[in-house]
Amino acid sequence: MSGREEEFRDFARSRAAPLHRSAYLLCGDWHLAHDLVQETLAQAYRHWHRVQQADSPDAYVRRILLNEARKRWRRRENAMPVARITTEPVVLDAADEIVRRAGLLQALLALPPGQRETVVLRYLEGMTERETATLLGCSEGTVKSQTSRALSSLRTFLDRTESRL
Amino acid sequence: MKTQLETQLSDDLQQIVASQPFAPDVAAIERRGRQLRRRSAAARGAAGLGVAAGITAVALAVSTAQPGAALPGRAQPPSVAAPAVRLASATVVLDKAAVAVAVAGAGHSFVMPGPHQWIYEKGIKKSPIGVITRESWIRFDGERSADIENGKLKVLPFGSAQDGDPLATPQGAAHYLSSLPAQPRALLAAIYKKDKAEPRSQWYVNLYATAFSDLMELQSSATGAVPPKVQADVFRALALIPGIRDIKTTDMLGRPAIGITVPAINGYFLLDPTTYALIGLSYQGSGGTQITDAVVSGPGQR
Repeated sequence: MSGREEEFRDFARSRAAPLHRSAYLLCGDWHLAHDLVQETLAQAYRHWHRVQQADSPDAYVRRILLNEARKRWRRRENAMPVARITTEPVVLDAADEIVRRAGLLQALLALPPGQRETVVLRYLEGMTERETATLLGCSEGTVKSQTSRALSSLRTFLDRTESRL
Repeated sequence: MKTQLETQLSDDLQQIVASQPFAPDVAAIERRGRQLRRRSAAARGAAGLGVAAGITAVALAVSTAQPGAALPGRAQPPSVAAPAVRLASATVVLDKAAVAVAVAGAGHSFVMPGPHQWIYEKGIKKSPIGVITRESWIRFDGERSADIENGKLKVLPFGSAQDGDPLATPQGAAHYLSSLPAQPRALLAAIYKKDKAEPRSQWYVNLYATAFSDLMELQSSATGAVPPKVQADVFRALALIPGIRDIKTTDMLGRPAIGITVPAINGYFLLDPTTYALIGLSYQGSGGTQITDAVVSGPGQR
């Protein structure tokens, strides 16, 4: 095995799990997330020299993942619900955090792709507004507004006090 | 500094994705990566031929297509009261599909879209959040795409062209398909020849499944810009693949449909059981059903 291949394998193994988690929040299906990560890393393999030369190989591969997810929405997955799910929290059991988080996930999946990507990058991956803007190819102002709109949509599933009433 | 709400969101997202083990199949990733590289190399050669063929097609065509006009020979949604599917052999079904697309296109002259024209698509599918519909646009050269987000058109500065694979763009795939031999047997032979040039490790199980997969990917990438005559040839070429079969299935709204597939491939060409029109492609239980498509001059147009 060449050093180049070894480097790629190390990279793939170390990045696969976080990519898988992000992919799940982008598509809402673990199997599809698996496919997305496999395809993302295959694209990274194909353009390995570019990945290695990138300022941030992580950001480069995250960009590929977002593109792959967007392609699925465009071609196969679709983005806009015919009948949007309710944004009201379902009636929750007093301490049922699992149910609340399930509602949060559904609400996240109902967000437009741009808002969903922003939420995943900022709140799962912990990226700053500037890093998110660079990755998404938009301004920091756009990231702020996307974040604000997303938080507004998700707020009812985040207020634990209200959920417990 | 994060607000309490933002901290809560971060915690919740971490919890939602916690404890889900994942080990990448690195060998499969590398096989797929090598396949993508070879496809790019092959496509760069084929694209030149394809562009020439596309120009010829444009020169011969009478320009009757209007912006917004539905593409000739393209799918109509299945009738609401679709009858139960009665299967004939896949060969018979695909021949009917070939005749149907040829008849539908007979009254129209196909005009290959220009690189800066857009393909509008509207389709439906099931998703984790229910049955959803989607409108999208992709520029024919694959350099731009557009979606509706929050009721507003959003034009994205990327499309399938950024994959680096010319055959992944509508233009590249449509021109490549149009450049293939007109006779179904010769068309399939050309696909086999391309696949045989790759090492067996790049194939999907066997040559036949690989050829089927290729035609499915090209059909998907061409995004509704396949000339009816070529579409008919593709259907008849599919019928020649050993093991090709038809199954009873449903479209994304649960309406009866005919699925065309081969062993070892979990994907289908979906045909309307009444009209035999192509109504979508289905991959591993995802995929979608097409409602309409059209060539338009810009994103947001229908």
